Amino acid sequence: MTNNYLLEFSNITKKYGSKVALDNVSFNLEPGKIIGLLGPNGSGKSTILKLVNGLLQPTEGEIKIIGNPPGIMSKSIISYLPERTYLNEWMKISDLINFFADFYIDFDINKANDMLIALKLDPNHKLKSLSKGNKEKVQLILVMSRKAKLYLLDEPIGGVDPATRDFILDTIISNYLSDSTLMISTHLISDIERIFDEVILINQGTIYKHDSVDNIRQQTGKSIDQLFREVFKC
Amino acid sequence: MLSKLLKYEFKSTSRIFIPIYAAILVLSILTSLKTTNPGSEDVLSVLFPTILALTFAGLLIMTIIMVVKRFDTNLLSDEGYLMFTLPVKITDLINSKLALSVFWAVTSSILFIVSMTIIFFRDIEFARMFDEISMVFSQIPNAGIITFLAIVSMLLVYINLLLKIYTSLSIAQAFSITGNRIFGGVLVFIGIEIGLNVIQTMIMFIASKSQWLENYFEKLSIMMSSPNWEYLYPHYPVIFLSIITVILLIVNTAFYYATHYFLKNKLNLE
Amino acid sequence: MPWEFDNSKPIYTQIEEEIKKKIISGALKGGEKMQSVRDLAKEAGVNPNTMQKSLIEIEKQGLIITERTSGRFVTSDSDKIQRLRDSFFEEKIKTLIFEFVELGCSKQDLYTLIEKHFDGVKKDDK
Repeated sequence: MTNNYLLEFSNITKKYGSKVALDNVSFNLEPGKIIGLLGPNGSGKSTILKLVNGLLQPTEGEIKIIGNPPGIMSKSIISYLPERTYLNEWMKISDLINFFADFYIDFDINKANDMLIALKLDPNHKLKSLSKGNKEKVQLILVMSRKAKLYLLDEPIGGVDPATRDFILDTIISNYLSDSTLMISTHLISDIERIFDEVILINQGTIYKHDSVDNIRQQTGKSIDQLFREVFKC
Repeated sequence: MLSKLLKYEFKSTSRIFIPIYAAILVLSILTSLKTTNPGSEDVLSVLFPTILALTFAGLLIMTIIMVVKRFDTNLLSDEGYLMFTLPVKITDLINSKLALSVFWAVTSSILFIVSMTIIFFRDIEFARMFDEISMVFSQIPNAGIITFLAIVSMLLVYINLLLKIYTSLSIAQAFSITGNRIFGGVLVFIGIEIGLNVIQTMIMFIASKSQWLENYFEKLSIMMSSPNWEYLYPHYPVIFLSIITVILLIVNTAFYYATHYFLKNKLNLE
Repeated sequence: MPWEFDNSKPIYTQIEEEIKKKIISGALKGGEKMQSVRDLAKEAGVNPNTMQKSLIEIEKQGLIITERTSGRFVTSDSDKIQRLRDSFFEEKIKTLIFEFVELGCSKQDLYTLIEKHFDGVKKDDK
């Protein structure tokens, strides 16, 4: 029985000792969609992304990426942007580009360099010397310059100024490949909800709703942001 | 992929070692120059060797620090988000760090020999030295194998230390034992050492109860008190070293698997 | 600058309306070649999937034509555009009239209001 789900997340429970981070969570993602993973802090969003990446092992349940469990194959088609500065700050931007090009066949060097030029970032600068906003931009450029099948972006627009945020959204839209899937986790919804095809609303380790944004808007007459605030107001 | 990891590991670590190596070479040459005029002892002829000795001590400390820091910073802190999402096997990640640590240890050892040669080359009669060494080698049976096994054992002992460090750090990060990962790693390391000592003591205790073993060692000590025993029983050193090598291989494999297990299944970044 | 949207209503219908308005106003001329989906999506600040969906809807209404090799074009059928313009205005005015009548405005009041404010509004360009 084959299906063409890109990601199958089936009955996943993740416990840390007695603390339950995810409780029997299931969802499937098709290729070619932009999905918002929305929830308050501590709701389990980062846990989901880490599980898909293979950075965590589930306590129960199964994860399949194009039919395979997380492993080398899935890592080569997943492009992940964590929430923090995760690159060696002593490296120059050009070093980082070469690093990514070295390890990822799908990395497009020209695209990355073009984006750097457009932002007037000097490839010879060390990451350390950049402002926070520029560091975020560099990390985003590296992630979006890959022709991946699944992009996982963890809070890409948190803690940046509006101009950087617009750049980030612009970059996401421009570099989005039509059979790739993007999953973006965020709690800042109103700025970004217009680009989602679907949203998954999660709180305290369980999914509240997983639906297309248009269905939600038509059924509730509300924006996703409004729905979110209502549902998660505690 | 392993070769790429090796490349980056080398780049990251050479930054620390190359300057120290350069300093050692320079100090060795300076020390050597200062000993050309006996009788002209001044502050420098004491200073250079002293700084050289301190630099070697520093190299030793630096090596251990580097082993710990590379593993911790690159795999267990924020950079872990990058390394563990690369399309590489976890064994490759571990192996690249092991390989480079061994490389630097071997290179440092060679550097030590080079340094000593530079300092004492006027005093060493190379021809006589080589003659004496070849004589020893040809006289002692199995000298080649013994030397080989001895070097292998030393390497395995060093690798054992490395793997114990890696296992300690991997376990510490899994359980977030203390706020500071490295401090937790130290605690686990001490725990492992104590555990190993306990096991060793238990084995010795059980062994001491064995009549058969007692007889065997009695025979062994009689044998070894006779003169020229190396020629009468040439295979004993080889057997002894082989057993040590095998034990080290087994213990190292156990620590390797422990490290791998905790990194693969119990990774707990942030 | 991304286009303005009301997030509580489906975006694709709002995009449709926006593009139709551009055709009506002549910002998109009859027969003009349109930007690629990706470029339009970037300009509007929306998901290319959503933009594609809107364009397909508009295409169904015959206002856009896709030539397989050369891309998307605004229809050059000026009658169609005129009909679009007419129906757009008629809808809007009907909605307006309905609202005003509900609040008790008479036909004469409406004429007076239009007389009074039409020229002024034209001058206050946004």
